[in-house]
Amino acid sequence: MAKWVRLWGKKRGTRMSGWWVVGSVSEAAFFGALLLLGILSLTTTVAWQLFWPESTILRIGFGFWLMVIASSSFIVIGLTGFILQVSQTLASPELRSTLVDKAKREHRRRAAGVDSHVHELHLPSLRDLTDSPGTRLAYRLAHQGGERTPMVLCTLFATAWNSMLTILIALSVLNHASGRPDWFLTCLLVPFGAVSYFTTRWFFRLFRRHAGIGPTAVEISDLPLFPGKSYRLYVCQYGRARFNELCVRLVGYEESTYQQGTDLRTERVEMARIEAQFTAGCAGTGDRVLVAEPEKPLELDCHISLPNDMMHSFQGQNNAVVWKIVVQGDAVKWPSFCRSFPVVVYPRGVP
Amino acid sequence: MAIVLPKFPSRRVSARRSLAARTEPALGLRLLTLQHALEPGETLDFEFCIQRVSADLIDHLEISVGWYTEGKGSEDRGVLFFKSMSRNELSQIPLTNSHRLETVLPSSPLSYEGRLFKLRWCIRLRLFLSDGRQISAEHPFYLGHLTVEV
Repeated sequence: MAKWVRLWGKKRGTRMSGWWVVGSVSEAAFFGALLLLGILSLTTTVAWQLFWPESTILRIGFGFWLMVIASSSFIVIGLTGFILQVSQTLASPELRSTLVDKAKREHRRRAAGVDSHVHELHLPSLRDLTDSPGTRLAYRLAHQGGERTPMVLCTLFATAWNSMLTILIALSVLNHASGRPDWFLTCLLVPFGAVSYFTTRWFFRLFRRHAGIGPTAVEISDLPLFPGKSYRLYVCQYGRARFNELCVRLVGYEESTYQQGTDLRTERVEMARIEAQFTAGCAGTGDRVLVAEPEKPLELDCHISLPNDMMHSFQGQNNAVVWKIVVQGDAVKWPSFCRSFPVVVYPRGVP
Repeated sequence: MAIVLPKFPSRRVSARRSLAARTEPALGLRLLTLQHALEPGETLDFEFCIQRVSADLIDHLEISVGWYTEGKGSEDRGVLFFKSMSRNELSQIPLTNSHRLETVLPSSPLSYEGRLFKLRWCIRLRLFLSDGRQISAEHPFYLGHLTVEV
């Protein structure tokens, strides 16, 4: 125990800097008080209407229902927080984890069709990866989006801003034409025009990157991947482009989620990179030029060999190891691009 | 054998405190396999003993085998084996003798030392005393033979 008991401490995420007893008791007291306040206010509000229906205070209407909702939320938050705090104090982390696992197992047993053994081993499910068969190889991998959201947001913003600017320009021109010029509005058009210019330029850059180089399709010979084995890959690049370089690799990332204050942050680092080898005679080998035409897409056959001592995919609640097939290209006259396709690596011995 | 003893302060302690520290309970935990790196599917054999405490001072004992993460992210935890022994159960066995337990290790998740987080496996004993105190001991082991990086 600390020499001097620290009454005040900071809560850093789920960790407390002060004496845990003070923190736990204070949190339990806070949630208990919230629960009591909720019960008291709900009882008062409802009882008032029952015993004094002619009273003008808290008559059934907007205010009454607002009080009922607020009091009920206090009860729910207070009760949940109090029970969680008490269970965290009374039960060891291992006992809590065992109870949670047992409840999850029971839930999965009831929900038919869920591959429970995979969840128990903390491995990601294969279900979303194996539902699309390939044309050449067993499975066609799903592209992990990430380019679409900025494109949509940029389109919306550019459209809204340019529409507003057009209306302001029209108003300004009308004012000038009618002989009553609004110089403030006219001056305001200059910074608004600058914003419009940069927004439009940003939109066309994104559009060029998004639409210029066509979609990429990746197929794989088998899933899940196992350490120590080799797999064939088929990459098909559509659109019209000429590439200086096109790399295909298996990349592993570590992902950790943590609380910083009231924010929930996720950090990701690359932890492994395994290059795919192009099959002899394929377009990617030697000095052959990599060209994709609308009538004749660029097709690449390659294989990837996984080492024995690689970490498997792992899916925890806050931490994860994810593996992706990454296609990275440097095209002539187009910005470079990088597209990723999630895969799953299981440890040996998993059926 | 991992034995948990009380932490003694660097400065001189009073005779009363010293006596109290000497009578503090100790937990012994030992892995029965020769190496601390085990393969998935292997049986984990271990034994434990409790010293310097009588069964009537114990509330209950928890024995678990599981993994946890440590690092930048919030902690994840998984329990493979869990056994709780009540005071009555403990009073029927000689506490100072070694008690052997075993469990079969799963194929995943393997021990891992990454940049953002580490995944560690351990055997853990938690002794809950009647006066509310809690004493724990853990013995780490390695599941699989992964290197830090590929």
